[in-house]
Amino acid sequence: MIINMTRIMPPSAEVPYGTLDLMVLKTLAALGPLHGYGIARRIEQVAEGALALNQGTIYPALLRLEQKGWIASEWGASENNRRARFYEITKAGRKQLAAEVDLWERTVAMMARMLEDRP
Amino acid sequence: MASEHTRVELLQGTLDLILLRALATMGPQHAYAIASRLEQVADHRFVLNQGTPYPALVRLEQKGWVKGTWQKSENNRDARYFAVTKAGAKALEKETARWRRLAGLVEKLLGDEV
Amino acid sequence: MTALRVALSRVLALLGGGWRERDLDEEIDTHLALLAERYRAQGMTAVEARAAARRSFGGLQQIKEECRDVLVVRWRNDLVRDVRVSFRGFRRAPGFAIAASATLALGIGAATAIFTLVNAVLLRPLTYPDPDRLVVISESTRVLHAFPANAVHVEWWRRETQSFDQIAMVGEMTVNVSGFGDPESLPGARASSNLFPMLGVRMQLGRMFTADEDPAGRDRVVVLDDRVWRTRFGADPQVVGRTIRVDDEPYEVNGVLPRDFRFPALRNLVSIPIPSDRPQIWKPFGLEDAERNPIGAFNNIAIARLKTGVGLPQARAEMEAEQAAISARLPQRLAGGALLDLHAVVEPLQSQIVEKSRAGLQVLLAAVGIVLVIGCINVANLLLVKSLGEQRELGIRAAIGADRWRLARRVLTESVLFGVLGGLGAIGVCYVVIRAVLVFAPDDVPRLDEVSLDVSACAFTLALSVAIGFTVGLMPAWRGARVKTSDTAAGRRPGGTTTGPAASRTRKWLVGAEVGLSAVCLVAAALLFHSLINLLTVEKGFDATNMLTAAVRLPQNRYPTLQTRAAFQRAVSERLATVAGVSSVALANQLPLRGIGASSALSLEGTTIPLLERPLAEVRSVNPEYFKTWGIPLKAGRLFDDSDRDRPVAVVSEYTATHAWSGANPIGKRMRFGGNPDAPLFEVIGVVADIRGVSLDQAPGFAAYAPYWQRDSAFVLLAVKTSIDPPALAPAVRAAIHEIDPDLPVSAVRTMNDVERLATAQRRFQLTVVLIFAGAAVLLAGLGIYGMLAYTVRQRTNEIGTRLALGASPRAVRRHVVNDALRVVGAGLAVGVPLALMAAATLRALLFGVAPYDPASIAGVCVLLGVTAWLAAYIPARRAAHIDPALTLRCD
Repeated sequence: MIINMTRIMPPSAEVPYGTLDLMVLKTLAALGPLHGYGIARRIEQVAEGALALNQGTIYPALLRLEQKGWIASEWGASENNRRARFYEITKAGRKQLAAEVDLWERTVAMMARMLEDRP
Repeated sequence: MASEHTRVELLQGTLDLILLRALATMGPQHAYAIASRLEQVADHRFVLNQGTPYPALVRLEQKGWVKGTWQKSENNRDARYFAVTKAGAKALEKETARWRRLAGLVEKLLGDEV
Repeated sequence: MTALRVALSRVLALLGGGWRERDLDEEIDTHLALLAERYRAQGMTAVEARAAARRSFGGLQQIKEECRDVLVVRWRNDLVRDVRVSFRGFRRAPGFAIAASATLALGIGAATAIFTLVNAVLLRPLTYPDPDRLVVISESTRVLHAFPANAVHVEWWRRETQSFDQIAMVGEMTVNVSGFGDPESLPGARASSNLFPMLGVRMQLGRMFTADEDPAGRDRVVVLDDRVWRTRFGADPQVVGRTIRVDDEPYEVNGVLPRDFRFPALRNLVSIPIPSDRPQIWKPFGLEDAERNPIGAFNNIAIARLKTGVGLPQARAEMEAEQAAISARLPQRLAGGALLDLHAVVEPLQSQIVEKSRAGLQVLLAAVGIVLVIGCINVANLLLVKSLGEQRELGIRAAIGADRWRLARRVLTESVLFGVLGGLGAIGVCYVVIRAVLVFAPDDVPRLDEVSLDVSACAFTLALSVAIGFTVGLMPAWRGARVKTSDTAAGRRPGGTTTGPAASRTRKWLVGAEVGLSAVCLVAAALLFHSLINLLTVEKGFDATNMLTAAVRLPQNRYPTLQTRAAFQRAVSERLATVAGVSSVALANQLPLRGIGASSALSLEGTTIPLLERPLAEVRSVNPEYFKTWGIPLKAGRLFDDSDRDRPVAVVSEYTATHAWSGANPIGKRMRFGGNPDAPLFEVIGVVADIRGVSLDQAPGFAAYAPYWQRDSAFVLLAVKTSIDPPALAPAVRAAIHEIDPDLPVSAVRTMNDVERLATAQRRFQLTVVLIFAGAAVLLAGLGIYGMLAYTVRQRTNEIGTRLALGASPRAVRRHVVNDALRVVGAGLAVGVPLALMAAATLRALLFGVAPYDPASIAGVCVLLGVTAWLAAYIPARRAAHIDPALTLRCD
């Protein structure tokens, strides 16, 4: 059985959706419940300017992840006392995160092999 | 979820990069040779059939990063040999850098303790 | 297209719950605000910060677009999943699914069928081109409203009015047709040549009448109706040009009318009850000179087309003026010296045709509507109970995080699925009901043959079922969404305490509503039933037992004079009297209960009353044995006999005696029939009892009888009183008539019982249908009560067990349950009976001899519903009484 994980073309983000999911899940797993802005901010921080992420692009991703049951959301109050949805990783989400990490490591390994200079 | 018996397609964009790199290293090749080489080095968990390179090669040719020409192969058959163009070489550098950046970013993110 | 997608996703978002457009906006707003704050902290101005926030967010529209895409996919997947789950549930508990779908199928199917019928008969415009501008013009006076028009008047209207494009004239004509098989009596019509063009008719074969065929003498042509062409002429394509004999005169067939041409039976075009069926054969009008009497016969139906731009009020005003002019112009001599006062009634053709059926069909529609509503309430209750039963499961699901709206959506999907299944079943039911109605319906109802189950009706049925499924699913879905997880977590049975009383109160209200509605249905049925009984038992004034009837029409060419016609009648009555089994023979120009035979104004000798205000009497041309045969007693004076040939004599009814001569003894007085002052004077020699001669529901009015040898008629209706079973005598009667005249077609050989049955056919049909619906309503209401009680007993098992343990007697418990049912029924009746009374008031037109507030009917309905409640409560009450307190106290 071949799992087809084709993604829809992202609008003009630099980040393929595959890694965006991974990044969101990891962020939530590491930092606990966050709202959309918080997640985007965190990713930006880690990127330290190396990545120009259109912040809005996480929202479709959040919706999809929630659909799949890997994250769950709840309304809460943000820092500036406005209403915001807070997202939290679920148990299923953690399992998925582990799988994605595994896949990621393999990809990195393979890419490293491919990209090293060899005759 | 991926199990022992399931295979996954490559992350978007990485296939293009792999092909460009392979062509740059190996010199002009026809699709069969490319595919065989990929199968050798690729992780078996990823979908890299004999047919995998073709759509990607078409894409790369459309972008102007490779160019295919008809030549006689080893066993005297007509085959298309793909070679990296000048634009392709530049793209390879850029994409490699981009990949490294992305990989670095994700690694950093993953590095955080859960 | 984008607007559509936006709208679609809005709707889906509403159903999808969780991620709504507004929520997304709010979330993004927050995000942008936080971003802007950060940029402000970095030193930008408010404006710059906001702009920078926008920029780093990315394309707002694109983001929203993507979210919408995701939503659509999810909705589709969810729907498929919900449907699959629902079907699994149906397989597991088929009884419930069947009950719900079947109730919907029956209710909706019947409702759609009846609505299709009502639509075809009442609502759908006529199939003629531009039907709204077709009108029927009738004449009227102060005394008599809306009677057929006089031929001369119609010709004057044509010349002198401006409001109409065309005025066509149609007259009734029953003829003996031969030349293609057995001679047969066919209903027909004579029409002016402009009728068919006005109705947009395209002949199937041949051609229509031309204007020069209109005058008498040149009118020896006919066109055939499609049905008679198929059944009697074998759909012969060479029929045009064939000669047939109509009333023994040769006529040439000019054409055949198209298959879909529908012309109503003539009785539906006039407000007075003339018996006539749909015309099968048409000839040009052929107005004879003898008929050109402006104060003569008022026999014709005038159909006209309004000119473009002319409205009904304008036409009416013009006709009023025209009639006034005609009244002034008519020779005073003919009018008996007094001024005429003619008016006109102009009615749209469509409403004229369906007028009589309107009330009856509306009753049907109301009845079926009520049953449908009750059915829906039952389904809603079923779903409610089911959802209450599922509260626990839903509570658990909600506790582990299932989206509340998903749960609600699943319930809704299930009920819509019921709707779909029910809708498919409904189409089948609809088809069956329509077929049944067409088979069993009386011929009286016009346009009924235009009914068919077409695609739009099927689509409507399906849409209605889905809509109903959706609506009845709303309440259980809403409850599903509101389920309290705290209940389940605390181990409390959900719906036991907080939601319990509210739910059962709702159900009680619903059941009460059912009872109220079925009361309305029942009262209507009771009133109609009562009316029918009254009608069937009304004092007719004549004896209809063991009477066999037959009809003949004497054609002009073989019976040209009064003498020849009288000779035939004498011969046939003498011959029939000798047939074995015949005790007595009656001849007349019309049978009782078959509507109007011949109406004429009674012009008493020396009267000064204006012609058109003189009493209009049913005048029958009869034989001397008529009264004996029909059992009509003589009240004063004597009856005529064969020896009364020197002067015209007549016998009048009691009503006539009292009202026409204002109580003075009519015997010896003289009168004329009609307005012609030169007509012979008839001397009144006797008074007979009143009979209901025209129809059962019409009280006896002015009636007079004259001997057939003194008052002419081409129609001879024979009735023989038999000493044996009447149908057995039919062949002998036919044979006897054919002995006198072998070529005379004998038609309508029926017993008087058959005639009576025909006369009440429409009422009986209506009553049958309403009874069926009322029965269904009571059944459904009873089921509703049963369901409610069964559920309540189950819910309160603990409480009842406790009470029993504390010493309450089983009988008291049983009584409590029954009282519960009776209370609900009482409440339902308290609302339903006033409602029923209001509805009954609208039935007034259909009732006979019974008031809309008839106490007996209402009392009967209350008792019936009370008994129903008692029956419905029987099993739950027993179950409650048999609860073992030991068990209930131990568990939970």
